[in-house]
Amino acid sequence: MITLINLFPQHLNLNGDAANVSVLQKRLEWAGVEVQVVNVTSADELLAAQKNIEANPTRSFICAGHGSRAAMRDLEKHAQGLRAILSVARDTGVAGIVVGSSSTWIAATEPTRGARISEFTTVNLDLEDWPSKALGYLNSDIAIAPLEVQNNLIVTLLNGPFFAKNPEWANRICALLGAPVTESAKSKRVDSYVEQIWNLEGDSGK
Amino acid sequence: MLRYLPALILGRLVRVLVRIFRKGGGSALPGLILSKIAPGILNRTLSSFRDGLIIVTGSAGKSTTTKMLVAIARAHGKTVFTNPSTANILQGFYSTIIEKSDMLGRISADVAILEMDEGHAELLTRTVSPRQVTVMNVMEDQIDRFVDPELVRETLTKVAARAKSHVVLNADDQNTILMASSVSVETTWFGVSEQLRTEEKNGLATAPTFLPAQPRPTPRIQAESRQGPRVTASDQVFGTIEFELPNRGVHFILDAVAALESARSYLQDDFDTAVAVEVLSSLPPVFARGEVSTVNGEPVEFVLVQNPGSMQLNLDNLDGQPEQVMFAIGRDVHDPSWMWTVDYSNLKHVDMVSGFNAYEAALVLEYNEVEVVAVQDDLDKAIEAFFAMPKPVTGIKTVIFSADAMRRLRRSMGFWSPEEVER
Repeated sequence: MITLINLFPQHLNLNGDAANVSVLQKRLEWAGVEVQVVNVTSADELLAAQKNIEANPTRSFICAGHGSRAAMRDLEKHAQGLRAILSVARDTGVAGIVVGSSSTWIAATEPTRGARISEFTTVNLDLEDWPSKALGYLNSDIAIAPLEVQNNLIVTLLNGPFFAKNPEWANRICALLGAPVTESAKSKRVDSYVEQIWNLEGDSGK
Repeated sequence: MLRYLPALILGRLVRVLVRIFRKGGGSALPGLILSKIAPGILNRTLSSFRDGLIIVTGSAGKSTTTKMLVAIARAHGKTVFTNPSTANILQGFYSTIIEKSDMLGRISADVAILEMDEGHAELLTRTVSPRQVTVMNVMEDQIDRFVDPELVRETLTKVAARAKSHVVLNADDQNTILMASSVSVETTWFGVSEQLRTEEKNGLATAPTFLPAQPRPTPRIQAESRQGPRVTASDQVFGTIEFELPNRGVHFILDAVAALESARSYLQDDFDTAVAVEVLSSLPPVFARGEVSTVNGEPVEFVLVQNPGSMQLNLDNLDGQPEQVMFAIGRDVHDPSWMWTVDYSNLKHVDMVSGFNAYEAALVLEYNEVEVVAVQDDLDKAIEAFFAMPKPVTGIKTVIFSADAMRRLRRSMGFWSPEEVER
């Protein structure tokens, strides 16, 4: 069974990033794929989640969203475990997404801060096997690329439901999880909304 | 005094022109113009009231609390200068001066009681010291603008610390409890009982501080229970107080006890509980805060949602499963990501999704298994289609909308502009 791991969703969901897990869950379920969601909320669960992804790297997905300043301070006590699980995920090719402030747990050095950008952003990429564009809301002062892929781990500043607005990226993740998603009536319906959002907020719509 | 005359004449002229060419629609333009050509008029006006300036601020509940507080003060014989419920930023204050002052910029009132947006309250209180500040709460709100709830708390702490005589705070928000240590004047508290708090499926939606819980201060007034519209509160001075509210939801009860405590703090020995209770029990809701209006001869409930907290509290307090629902999210929602933090399990279907962010809203609803019947991003067409539906068999039509969609809808339907909604 595919396991979708949500790291500290009570802390790391200031902008709805935890919805990345529920979006993947729905898309997989609509396609008839069995899936389980594991919400990690303690040190023990963090350790168990790490063991899970080490045992099932191709059937696991991990999500670490952006947290408020207070949430990030509170999670300092788990920082070592969070760095460990995200490093293992990246180094073993586990699919996942790391958003905003969580990117500090996977950065080699403390990221520098720049001017805050707060706007819808379209990112163009040239990566083998990955979609060439992504759309999302960027609200950050962290001076890193707004979107990059480290092995199979997406590291992004585009907050909120990245996979909802970028279904090609969701499908790529599903394929990595061994569940290439076939279109369903429901997925066609939501993806038709995405087309309209891209027309409105993407480069061509501005 | 005459130095503001030309600016006020120009402001009023622009206001008249806007009304002619944008029938039924409000505009920030007159206030914007006045703020550019006569910025000093705001400080001068707000500093001119005998009883000073009272500010009601925080993430949610400002409009309802201010409306209640103003009505209670007036019932005690005070003349009050206040702002319409949509004009809670600086430009709005200037617009209100254009509307309420004489040609010399003078306003005849005992006190100014203003609802203020968090950011604008901090800006204004740098130069005008309020007599009294009421802080409702801190929620995760407009992260694209405010960045982080902790920054909002810091901003509101500055506002509270600038009060000259009294601060009124929410005992049921850890954020407002943290503010108290920065306040040097008398602080009193309002709150709701644990019983009422636990009746809310998702709590009171305040922003978590992720700090060790501070002890809850003892509220001077606390709402204890409710039976239908009837609320029972206990007061340290006046004992048991009972009143009725037109709105559903514990958040409105919290607004009412905030208003009572704010009124008592202002009026002091002149405060008459019987008068205050009578006012609360007879006051209609602020528009779109549980307001029911008549459209095409049928009653329609309008529900304003402005952030995850207000969306959650209002969805949790829907009147059962509304048979006909319109959901409109406008341009004011710059980053619709917050809509993904809300629990939509109380909403089973939406007949019409509309507004600038119609497709964003439809996307989040569909992923949350809320049936979406139709999406129409043209709000006028959506309104026409929704209100053309036959009357529901049970209940009444329900419109859930953001502030921008609300303004457009009211204008489109020929309602008077929100800027004209008086307290």
